[in-house]
Amino acid sequence: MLKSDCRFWKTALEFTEKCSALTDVSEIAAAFSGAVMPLGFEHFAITRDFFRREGFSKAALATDWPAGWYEQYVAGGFYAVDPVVSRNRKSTNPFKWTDVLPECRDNARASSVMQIAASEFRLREGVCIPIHNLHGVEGGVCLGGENVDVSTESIHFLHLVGIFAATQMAKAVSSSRQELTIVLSHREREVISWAATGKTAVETAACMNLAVSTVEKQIASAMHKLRSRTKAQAVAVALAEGHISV
Amino acid sequence: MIYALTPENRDLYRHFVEQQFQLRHSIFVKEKGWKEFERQSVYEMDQYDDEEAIYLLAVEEDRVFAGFRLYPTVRSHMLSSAFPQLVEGKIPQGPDILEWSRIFIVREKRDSGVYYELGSAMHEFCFARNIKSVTAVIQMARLAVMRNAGFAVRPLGLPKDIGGQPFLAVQVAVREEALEAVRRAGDIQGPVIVNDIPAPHRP
Repeated sequence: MLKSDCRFWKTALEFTEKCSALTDVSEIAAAFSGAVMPLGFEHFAITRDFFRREGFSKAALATDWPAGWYEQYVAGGFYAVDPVVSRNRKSTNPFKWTDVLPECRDNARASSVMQIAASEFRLREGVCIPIHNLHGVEGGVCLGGENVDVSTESIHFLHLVGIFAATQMAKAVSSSRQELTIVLSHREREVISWAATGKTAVETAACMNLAVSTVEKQIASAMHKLRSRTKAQAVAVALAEGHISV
Repeated sequence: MIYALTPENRDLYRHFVEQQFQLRHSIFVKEKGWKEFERQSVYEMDQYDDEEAIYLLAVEEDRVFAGFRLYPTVRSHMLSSAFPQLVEGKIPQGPDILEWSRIFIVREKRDSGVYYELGSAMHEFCFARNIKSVTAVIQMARLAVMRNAGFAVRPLGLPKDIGGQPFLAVQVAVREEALEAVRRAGDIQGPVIVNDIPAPHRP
């Protein structure tokens, strides 16, 4: 009998071993996005306390969502109507975002959350992984991107690494006050790293094989998350806070 | 309180063993539908409920209400015979590795801290017998519970669907800090096994 795809297993083994030794939410998030990026998953959110009604920023542990999406999600109260969140509360097993689309047909607000994510923030498809405690679902790991691998093997891989990431983060914050950690996405970290070496947006676009406008968007999002007014300031903050290294 | 029933002392606790098979019937056959392990319409048993099986059973007023089984991995066991496809590479086997299976808690007790008592008992027993790790096949939904409880869990392969549900093979290292974490999670003050654990017989 043929065993699993070696790449998936090798990455899963490396990640679960590395993750179990990390004690900082940002470090766990960076390792996690590094593990899922090759499958096309550009953004994630890890939520611990699904049943808190105060909203996303109180329920979530960490996210690397693009800056504009996060603000819109919180300000628009999307958490309360997001069909992916409500499906996650009832699910035992991982599911794809496209699985919830039929439920959106007669729900305009739910449907608009999915549409804005897809059209404005390239969050077209994704996977959600419910996290259980002894009594049922307690939280979830949500991952998405523009062109993602949602094969059965990929979902099994995400299920395993997602649970390790979420439980390790829960452990990391259990001693401190729970506060949402907003981290740079894999791409944002890459563009800031190039900027740190003196590359312009045009040069970075060539290095990363991306459109210049995409690079500029990533830089703007990173600047926002790093509370910086200039690219140079964002580089300095990213270096000082350990988001990137040279 | 939890009793450790080994091949060496099991004769003293025959009534607990019998109750266990009945409880497992109500949980694994009636609740979960594992029809292939039904025996005489009232018991649940499989080929590993033999003379080598070890049972740790939680008892209150002479009634068993929770427990699990440990089985030598040097013999043919579940992971090696029924679920080898869940393991990448070599199946962990050895005199210091046991297979952990048939973890059950009666419905009325599932909201209490019994799960942590069972986890503590597993660690205590393994320390007493110089067992370094246990292997198990778990439902994926259990993985976060085990990690949150403090178990030192390592995956042995990627999850795979069995009967429509994702399952994972794991190896749980028996460590002092894991026992301490499980005790903290369950607010358990000290040892939970109440009887003397007999030394293993050597053939």
